[in-house]
Amino acid sequence: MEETRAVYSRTQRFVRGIIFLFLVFVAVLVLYPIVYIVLGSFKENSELLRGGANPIPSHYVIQNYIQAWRQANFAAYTQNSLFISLGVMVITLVVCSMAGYVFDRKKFRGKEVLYGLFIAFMFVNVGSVALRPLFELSVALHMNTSLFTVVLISAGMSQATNIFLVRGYMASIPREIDEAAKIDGCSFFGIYWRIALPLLKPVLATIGLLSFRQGWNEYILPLVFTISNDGMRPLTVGVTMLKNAGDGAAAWNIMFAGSTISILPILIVYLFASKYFMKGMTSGAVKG
Amino acid sequence: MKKPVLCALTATMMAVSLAGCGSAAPSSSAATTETGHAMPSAAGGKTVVEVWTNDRHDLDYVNKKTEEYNATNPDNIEIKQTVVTDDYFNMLTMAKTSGTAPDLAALNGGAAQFDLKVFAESGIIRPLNEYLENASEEYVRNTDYKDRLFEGMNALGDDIYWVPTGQRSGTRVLYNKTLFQEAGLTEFPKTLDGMVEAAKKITDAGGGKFYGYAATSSSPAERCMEGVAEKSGQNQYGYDYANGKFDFSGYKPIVEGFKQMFADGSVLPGSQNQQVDAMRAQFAAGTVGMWPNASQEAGVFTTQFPIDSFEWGVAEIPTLDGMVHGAQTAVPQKGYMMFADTDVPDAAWKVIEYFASEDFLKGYFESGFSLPSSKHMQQVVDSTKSGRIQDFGTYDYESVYPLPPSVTIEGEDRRTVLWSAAMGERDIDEAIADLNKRYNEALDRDVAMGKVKRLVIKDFDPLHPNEGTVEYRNQ
Amino acid sequence: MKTRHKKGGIESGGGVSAALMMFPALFLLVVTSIYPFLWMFRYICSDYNGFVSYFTGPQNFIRMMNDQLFWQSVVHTFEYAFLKILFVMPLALVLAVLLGQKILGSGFFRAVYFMPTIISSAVYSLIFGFIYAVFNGSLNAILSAMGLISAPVDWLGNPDIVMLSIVIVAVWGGLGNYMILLLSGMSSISADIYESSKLDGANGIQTFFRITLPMLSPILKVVLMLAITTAFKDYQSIMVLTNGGPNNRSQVMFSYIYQVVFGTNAVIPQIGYGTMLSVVSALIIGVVTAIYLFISRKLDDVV
Repeated sequence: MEETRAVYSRTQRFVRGIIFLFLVFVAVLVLYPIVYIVLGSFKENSELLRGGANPIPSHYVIQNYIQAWRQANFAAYTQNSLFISLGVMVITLVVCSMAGYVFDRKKFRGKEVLYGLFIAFMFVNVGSVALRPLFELSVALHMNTSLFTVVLISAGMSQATNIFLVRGYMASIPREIDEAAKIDGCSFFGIYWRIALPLLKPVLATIGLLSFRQGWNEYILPLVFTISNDGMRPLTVGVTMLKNAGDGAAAWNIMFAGSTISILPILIVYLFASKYFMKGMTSGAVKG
Repeated sequence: MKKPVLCALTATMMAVSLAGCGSAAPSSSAATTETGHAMPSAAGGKTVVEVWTNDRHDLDYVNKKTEEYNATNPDNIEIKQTVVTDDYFNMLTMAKTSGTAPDLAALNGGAAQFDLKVFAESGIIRPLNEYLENASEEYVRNTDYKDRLFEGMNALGDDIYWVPTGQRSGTRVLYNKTLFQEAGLTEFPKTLDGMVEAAKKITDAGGGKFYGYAATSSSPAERCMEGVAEKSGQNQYGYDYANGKFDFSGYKPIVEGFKQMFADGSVLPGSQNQQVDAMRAQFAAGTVGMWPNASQEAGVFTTQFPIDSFEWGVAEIPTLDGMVHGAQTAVPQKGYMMFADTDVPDAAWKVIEYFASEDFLKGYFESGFSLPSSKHMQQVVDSTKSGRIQDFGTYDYESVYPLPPSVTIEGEDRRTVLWSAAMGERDIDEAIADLNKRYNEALDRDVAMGKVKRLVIKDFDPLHPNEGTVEYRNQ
Repeated sequence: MKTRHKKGGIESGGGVSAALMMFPALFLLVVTSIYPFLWMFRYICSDYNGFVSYFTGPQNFIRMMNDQLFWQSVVHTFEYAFLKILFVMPLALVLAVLLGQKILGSGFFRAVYFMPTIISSAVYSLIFGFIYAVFNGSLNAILSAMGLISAPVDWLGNPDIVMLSIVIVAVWGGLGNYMILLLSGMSSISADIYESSKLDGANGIQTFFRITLPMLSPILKVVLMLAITTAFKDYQSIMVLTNGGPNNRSQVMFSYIYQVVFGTNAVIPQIGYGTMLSVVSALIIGVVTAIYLFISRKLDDVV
């Protein structure tokens, strides 16, 4: 008895070792380009642009960072990026969790048609073509100089996906739970607030993270809307502007430094969100 | 117990999403954003002239001179400059639609995304004629504007929309003298065949460490295939001005030459799909024998990626037989167009004059940002200060071609097709026949539709493309 | 608004509150999706360069039907999407399953795999340009050091390889996304079930096939559909890496449309024709998804 157990745990340990090595292997592959970018941000521009197999700088140029920081209005850019990201995240969470919940738990006429319409627009991504009418519309409404417009458009264009996710997740939560709550006197909205939301935590943490990131990565949209106002630019736009050089060689090293700086805030957000949805995984699920 | 809170939450949220559509500030002048940065306004009694530019290479200098001007000009004008580099012309039109357009916009000639006719006819920009007629002597002297009118590029008939103050050289070939020596070459070849041969010799000498030729990846056909074609008598647009139709057949021997270079393996592998800056770095690292580009590279290889491990030269572009049969395009640069909506046209004109003043231009050219285009400025500039841009010089055979009608072609554009033929991806004769067919079909259709007019210059002279009698036809 | 909501919430069985809860999503749908879509139809039969529009009747449609480049790009899109999903989904699933357990450094690994998704495509495309470079590229250097190749491979210039090369970049960039979505899906599986399965003596692989996969299948289906729609819409990194080349071998629908709509350095924008292509490509993706939904529903019935 003792012996079999020991053998079992030895194979288990072996399997775990293999798994760990596999994870390390994938991590190395994933990290290589990132390390290349971060180390590249310490190179002279010409050395960075020569490429080559050796990602390590011949000497470290801290000046890239100083120049990036000085040239770009990082404090304001970061603030704008945070505004867009948080805005997209909050609006997405509120709008999509409610819509997804209604779609799954409410029967109404034309529901599937309406849902089909939402889903259909997951594909009708005309990308940049859509920016023109939206820009003209926002001009007509005098909203073209506000970052809030950027938030609304960004959240709106991606909402179908998130509604889809919430509905899918909601479907996996047994209906008996809200039946019981209904008997206890909970209203439709009350069930959403007290029962559904806590159970949706893991998927909402994910959606929150992904929509935050989406807002963070938005480029063409804020570019169009902030074009005449440097003070409104988010990091994506501001950092890319660091590179552009018109007639000469672009300052890629400065842009790389700027990009490296701008990775940090979102990485921190990720670490927070990650803690949250891991918590969701252990506690939220047990209740369900 | 929680219900009121919930209702309040829903209500607030609805309010927010509704308020979103109606409550924003009415105009850009009053709009402060969430970040608290106020938009510019005509504060303090100053006349603000908003200027957009898509140039960054000269930004430090322009900013410095702008500050000087803002502090000292007697008319109380303040220049506010915004740099927009992505999708510039699209942004300009969007800004115009939204009423946030600047008063002036800087531009350089030759951008395919910019169609002067469309900008003029849609009322985005206005002609400068009334100002030019009363322009100061200094302005006329510094720009020679009457000699710098190019049909379709900055002028339409009698209407003049912008005036260049400088110019970029035509395409040259930058070459590594050390590699030339190693390959036993003494001077830069005058013919295309000579260049193909030189590329092969250098590559053979390199044994995989360096190559004869590298493509200018951002626009490989433009540099330098088009230059060779132009100097050999085939204009880059493939437009037969005398007859008012497209004809690309003159490209054949030129594309064949470049195809040979690929077939010989003399082209730095991968050079056509990496960023242009990566190729600059390769040239500076000494891995490339010949690399075509224009005068802006003077600054790149002296200050940005300074080359001190070898000598580099700047050569005129070769031709088929070594003789010059046609003008080579040299792009006019740095002009300003005025928006039709501007409230301050007089002040805007003063700014244009300032950007063309001797004080401004002398320093500009001496910093090597561009080449002077007027006789006066060529004399004034101290050439010892402007560095290697001297080597790119200007030649008599350089000029600007009248722009052929910009037609809506179906399928790939001329540059893509010709380059693809050079790389051996498609047959040269088939590629040229295909271009002739599609471009002429598009031209016939657009003319019939009334979208464009057929440009005919009966007395067209390829050596002096801009001197013929321009005629527009509806058929 | 408040009182109406309160009343509705209690009296009409949630009908009004449901409508109110639905409203913001509907509003955004109309404004940010339906309106731009309808806008496109204004120019679908026109030659429109952004300023002046000329009515051309069925010209755009005829052109689209005969546009070899477009139909080639459609084929490439299918090829690209198929390859991307083939690699990214199994890998993301394996990683999610492994990282859903308590493993040394699992938090670290999750963060690492997520990182590519926050780097802008302009930055990473340049880096992959260096990695894939024929001359002095690091991938070739590593492979030849390992003795796997004898001559440098032209990763982005060889028409036979280029698709694989851009798929690798896409997998690198998308892996973290799907891993996270699957991880959050797995969290809905009750820990009790795992416990009981462990007590039954099931090993890891058995647990995966008996419990994780079936329990995960609703979420997996959702994520797969997301992956499909995303893969069909990818184009940005392709444009920076190859610009559709060599000889249009890596041209996908949306990179082609982008070039049509925004113009190249020798062609003016053709927005009218671009809207025609956009509508057709939306239809194509719609059909693909409908087929996918149909099949996955049929499978449900069988299982």
